[in-house]
Amino acid sequence: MANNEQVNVPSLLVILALSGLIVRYLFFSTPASSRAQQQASRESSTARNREAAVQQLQQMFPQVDRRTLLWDLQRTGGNMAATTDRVLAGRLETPPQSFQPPPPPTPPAAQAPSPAASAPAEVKPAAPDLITRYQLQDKLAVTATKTQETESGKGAKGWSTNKEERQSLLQKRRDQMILEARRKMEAKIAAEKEKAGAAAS
Amino acid sequence: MEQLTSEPNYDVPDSTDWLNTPLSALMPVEQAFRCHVCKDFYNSPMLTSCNHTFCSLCIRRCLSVDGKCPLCRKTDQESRLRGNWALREAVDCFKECRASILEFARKPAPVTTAASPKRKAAEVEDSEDGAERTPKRPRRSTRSSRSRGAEATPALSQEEVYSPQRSEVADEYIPDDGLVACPICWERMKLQAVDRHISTGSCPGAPQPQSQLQAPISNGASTRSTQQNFPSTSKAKPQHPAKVLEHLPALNYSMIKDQPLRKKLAELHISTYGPRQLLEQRHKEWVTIWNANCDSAHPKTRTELLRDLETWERTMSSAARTGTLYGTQAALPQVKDKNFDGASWATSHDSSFKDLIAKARQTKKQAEQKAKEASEPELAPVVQQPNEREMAHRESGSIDNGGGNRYHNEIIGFDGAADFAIPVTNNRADQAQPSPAADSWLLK
Amino acid sequence: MSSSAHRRLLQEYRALTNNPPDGITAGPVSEDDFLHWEALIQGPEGTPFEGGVFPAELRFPRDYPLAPPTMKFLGEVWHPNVYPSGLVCISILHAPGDDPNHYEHASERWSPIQSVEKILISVMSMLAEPNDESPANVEAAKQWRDRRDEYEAKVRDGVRRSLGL
Repeated sequence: MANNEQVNVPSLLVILALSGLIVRYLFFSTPASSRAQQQASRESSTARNREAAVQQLQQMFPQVDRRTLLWDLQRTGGNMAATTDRVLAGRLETPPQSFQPPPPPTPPAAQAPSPAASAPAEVKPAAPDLITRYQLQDKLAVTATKTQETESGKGAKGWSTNKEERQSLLQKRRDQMILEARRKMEAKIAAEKEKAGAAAS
Repeated sequence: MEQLTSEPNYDVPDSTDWLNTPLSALMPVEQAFRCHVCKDFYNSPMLTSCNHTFCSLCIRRCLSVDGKCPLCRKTDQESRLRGNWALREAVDCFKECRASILEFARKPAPVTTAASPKRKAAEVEDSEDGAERTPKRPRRSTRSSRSRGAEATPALSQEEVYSPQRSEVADEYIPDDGLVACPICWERMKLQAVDRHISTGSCPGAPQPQSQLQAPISNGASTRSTQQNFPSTSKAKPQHPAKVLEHLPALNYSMIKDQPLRKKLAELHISTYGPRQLLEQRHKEWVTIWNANCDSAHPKTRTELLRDLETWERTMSSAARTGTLYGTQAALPQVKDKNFDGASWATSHDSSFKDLIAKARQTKKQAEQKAKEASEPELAPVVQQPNEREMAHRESGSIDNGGGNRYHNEIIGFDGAADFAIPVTNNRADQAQPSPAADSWLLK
Repeated sequence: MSSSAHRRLLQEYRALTNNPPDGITAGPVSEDDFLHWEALIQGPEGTPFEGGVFPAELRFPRDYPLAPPTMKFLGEVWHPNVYPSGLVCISILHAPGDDPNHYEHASERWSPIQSVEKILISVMSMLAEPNDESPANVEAAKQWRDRRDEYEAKVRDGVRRSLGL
């Protein structure tokens, strides 16, 4: 008996310790990264559920807009019945302007709830600058000589009845605006450098 | 408006057109004639209870969305809108003369060479125009000194040239015979006879009590101050013989069930196709455009309104397919209507018809060839779904006669260019692969 | 026959072409789709955005002007009221609907009487005077509030980079 008990006590202790660890592992001491992942996956799943709920609600109440429904769902914790009641009772609140729901078709991952966390450089990998964006490299060299000309041609602008002509006029105005800005900025930088050089010497 | 033939969709006159002309002061004038919502000229301007004016259609749309005046955000109701007929008249007149004034303003001014414009310009014109102009000189020169000098004067004199023409036109319609026009049907008669004429019902438009809507305007027009309304009103008259349009009541969609709503739509002869939400939107839009049309001085026909509804639905529905399908169904009963505007339908789809005829001719030839080769005739692509009549024709061999147009009419058993579109439309709905020609005009 | 949205946008396009406001160029990307515009806005003078040109796209709903368009900067814009995605958060772009407890006045909200021109002018003045009560970019808002020098330097840097300098 005693032998039996002696064997049981340490094994019991071991079991207790193990289960304690498991419980701790599961509920309390999740490492930061995996917890964030969990949260993210939970968030995306709730977002998916929300999307379904919103779609259902919108079928019921087409007059209420998506954003309002999403806002209310967020406040009620995704409780469709509660939201339905509030719509029926006319107690829906207008969401604050800072509330930006995810766009309808795209997956919820696209919308980060804390946009500030990500650096702007990451968000905009495409279109590094305006010159490449509008393919103005070859026009850069020409502008210096042509500026007077284009300025005098400015008076001729206006509405054209021809679709293509309108399009090209708009394009021209766009290019001109960018090139002019670039020219001014170049001049400004040159002036600053000169000043700096003068101050140094 | 000026270039309707080439690109009707792309010509939108704008108040900024006056810039860079000597008459740039007309820009704010034109702006005052334009609706704040659509930025176009007021079309049946309506006054809200907060004294703002919008196009009938614009304000009705806005109110149906949020029930507030777009300018001051006061709550208002459609039923409280009142017509601003004086403005309507002013806008119509301005629209009429706008093109010619603008054209004139854009012409290079002939007398700009004068160094000190005011006096010299006046002198030059005097010598040119001679004695006829002389009495007007003092007034004109003061005006031109207030405006921007010599460039403005030609425009003013042009305006003066216009006015005699105008009064001539008006004179045509008011012969000085001591008679007055009936305010409803414009028949001329003695003043004493008017009452009897209306009350005995010899006037075609008289007995309806709803004519209140139009009667006051017409009364106003019969006084001297609004003579210019005469030509247009009397011109429009034969098209719409004193038909008085009634406003439709709005529905409370949350109170009405599916079936009654469908019935309502059917009563209005608009499509009952689609899910509940679409039905509500369609009904709402129909009520809106219908009521706006009721406010118009020259109401559109029902057919035109139905086409507007169709266009609206096509632009609003994300699935263009369903829009087309619906359009086909909605147009069908209209095409069969007695008052269907066959001529305009025929002209607007002329090219498609020609395409179809050409196709039919081609396929007929092919069919002939095949008929020679084999005893079993092939189906023409345009008429892939044969109806019974067509089958009968084919069996009796009568398909081998006439040109394309006759060919079509024979098969289909309709006459008239307008009507022969119907079977094609029918086919379109059933066909798995519509012919490109039929598709192109349906999507127009 | 064109829809009212199409016609109104055409009207606005014409007005913006005939009489463009200072520092603004706007028009449809392609006339095949009038609901998609691209605009260029000049940075207002006397602000760190001065000298810059900022491209943005405008997308209009089918029932425009009953509902407002959305506006999104296509380049990098470091500003408290611009989401890192480029989406502009400004009261004139918000659909009508009164919220008495909110600081925004109804008059600042979208109404069918507003126009592309008014939106772009509002965005220009927004660049000059951020509204940090409802920031879209919290980080930028914090920087703007607490370390204005850093914020301005960052903006200036972005402007130069966007011009390829």
